[in-house]
Amino acid sequence: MRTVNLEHLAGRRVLSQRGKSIGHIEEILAEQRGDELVVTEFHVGIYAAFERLSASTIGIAMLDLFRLRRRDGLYRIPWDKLDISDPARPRLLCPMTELPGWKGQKDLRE
Amino acid sequence: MELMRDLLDKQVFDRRRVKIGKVDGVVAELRRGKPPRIVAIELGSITLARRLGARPGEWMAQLATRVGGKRHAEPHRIAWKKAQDNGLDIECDIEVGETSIFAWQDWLRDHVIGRIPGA
Amino acid sequence: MKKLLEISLGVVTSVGGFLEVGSMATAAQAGAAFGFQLIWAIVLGTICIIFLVEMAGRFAAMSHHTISEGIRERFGFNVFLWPLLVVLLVNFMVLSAEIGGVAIALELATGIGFQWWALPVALLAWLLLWKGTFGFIEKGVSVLGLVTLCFVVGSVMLKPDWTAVAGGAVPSLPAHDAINYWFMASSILGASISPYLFMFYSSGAIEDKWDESHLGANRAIAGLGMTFGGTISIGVLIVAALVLATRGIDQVDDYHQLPLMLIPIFGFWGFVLFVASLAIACFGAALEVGLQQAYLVAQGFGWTWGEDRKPRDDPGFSAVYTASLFLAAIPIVLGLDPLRLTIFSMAVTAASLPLTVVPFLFLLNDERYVGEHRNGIISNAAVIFIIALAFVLAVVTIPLQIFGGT
Repeated sequence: MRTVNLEHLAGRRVLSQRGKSIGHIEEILAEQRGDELVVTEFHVGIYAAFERLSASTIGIAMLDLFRLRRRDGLYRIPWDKLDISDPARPRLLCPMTELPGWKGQKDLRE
Repeated sequence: MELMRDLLDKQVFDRRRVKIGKVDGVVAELRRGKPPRIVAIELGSITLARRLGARPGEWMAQLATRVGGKRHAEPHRIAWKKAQDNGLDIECDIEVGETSIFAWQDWLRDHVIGRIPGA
Repeated sequence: MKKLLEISLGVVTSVGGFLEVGSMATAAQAGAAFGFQLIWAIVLGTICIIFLVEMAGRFAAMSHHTISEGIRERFGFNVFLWPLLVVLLVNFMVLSAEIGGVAIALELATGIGFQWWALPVALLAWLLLWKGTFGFIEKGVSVLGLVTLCFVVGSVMLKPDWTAVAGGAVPSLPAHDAINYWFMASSILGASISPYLFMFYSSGAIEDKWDESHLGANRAIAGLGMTFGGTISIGVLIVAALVLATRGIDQVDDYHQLPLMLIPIFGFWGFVLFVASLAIACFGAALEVGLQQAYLVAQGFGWTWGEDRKPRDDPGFSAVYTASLFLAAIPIVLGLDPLRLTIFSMAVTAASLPLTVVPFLFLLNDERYVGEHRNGIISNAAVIFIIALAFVLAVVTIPLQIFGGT
């Protein structure tokens, strides 16, 4: 069984296939499918860990105030488009042209 | 579930509501053609040290081996199927006494704390 | 009736927390050097700590987690490491200063040098933590701590010009020694807004098993308790201003000058009251800071913790406070001047504030922890103000210390 420690992905810079930085991993979404908990999406934003900071309206207001959060949201990258076999160096598995299709706001409801 | 917000660094309890540590790491199995599957949570100083870097991780593993023996060179893992998200905490259907998670605390109790009168 | 008793005990508990060697030394120095002019710094510090303590208590009561646990859990280990290391270091210095404070008191009382008292004091503190329960320590220190009211009584007996006192509560610019003035202001703020205080308070709320029903008592204890401590500090300042300054002592740089404060008012008993106040306030603080070191480490790493448990049931926790107390005694044993150490540790506390105060903005607005009792506009405004103040202090305190401190 090939395993990785997901905590090493926190805040890591994500590189495109050409080596260009597209942002940092801010969160990893997982879903219960049957009796398995599986990773479904990676949320990539401009700064590391700011999604952890933004889970409250004050936090978001402060981040917007200092323009630390991209207004148009994060990239929600599906699990199969990111290579995490080396958690310190996650790489996009598809061309960057596909990225705009995955833009989305983080779900603010707690 | 958002793994960093809801799982990582949360307090872990065992079956008897004993505090056994925090979720220091989350282990996922990589599979061909299927999404990664969460298989275990990890606890302990080795896991924590690794989060600071590869070198600190190695030092901690060496320290643990030197002090406790080879069996302590690997971090403690609790299978995910034994864990349950309890709101702000994680409860595990295990008995901490059956794991080696408290090995260092037991050592501390037997060799230091327990030797001081009144403990 | 029971709630009333709980509240009154909680109020008096601030003595070990708010009133300790840092607040006494900074208040005395400020009074001697600048008269009533720096009262505003104590008032400002008190208001800030009231907000922080209330929030720390509310957080613990609602989430059953302490602030330290909240910081690790909410921001992750890598971020938590910074406040952890800095607070451990700052607390170490403060603990050393508190042990020094008790040691000075004993030197004043017996004539035996303070260096000889450091280890016995650490030993006694350790014994109380080892064998005592949280409730016993809390109540014991509180009741004994009432002796510090002598400063308030003393200040009233001196018949100060109360309008001048009130005037001091309004910020003003210094007529002389501007750098020293601002350095003292920042030290007073560091003495009032101590991270160990609000962290200990949230740990205490868990030890006392608070829940949602305690929110009202929490507000009362935070408000009245810290005001109680602040009032006593102002009492120290007034006495120093009226007694030391009029005797030409405008610089308190030797702790032997301190007991002089109460002698003109109470005679020989002034000496006794001063020594007792110093010893008890500092000893209480030593217990709190020592415990807080253990709370911080145990809570940060998820170990079992609790002062009511036998030490063998939480060996990691007990080991940390044991090591903390004895290590912190060492600088005093080696002869480090406790007064200098106190002023320095207050300055460092002020400089470290941003690391522990910024998390409040996020934790107290997070529904998952505090449910429907999130911060209102006033509390959030207060936190943002305190964060801004913390950053200013972080930037100016060390330079002020270098250029203007003792």
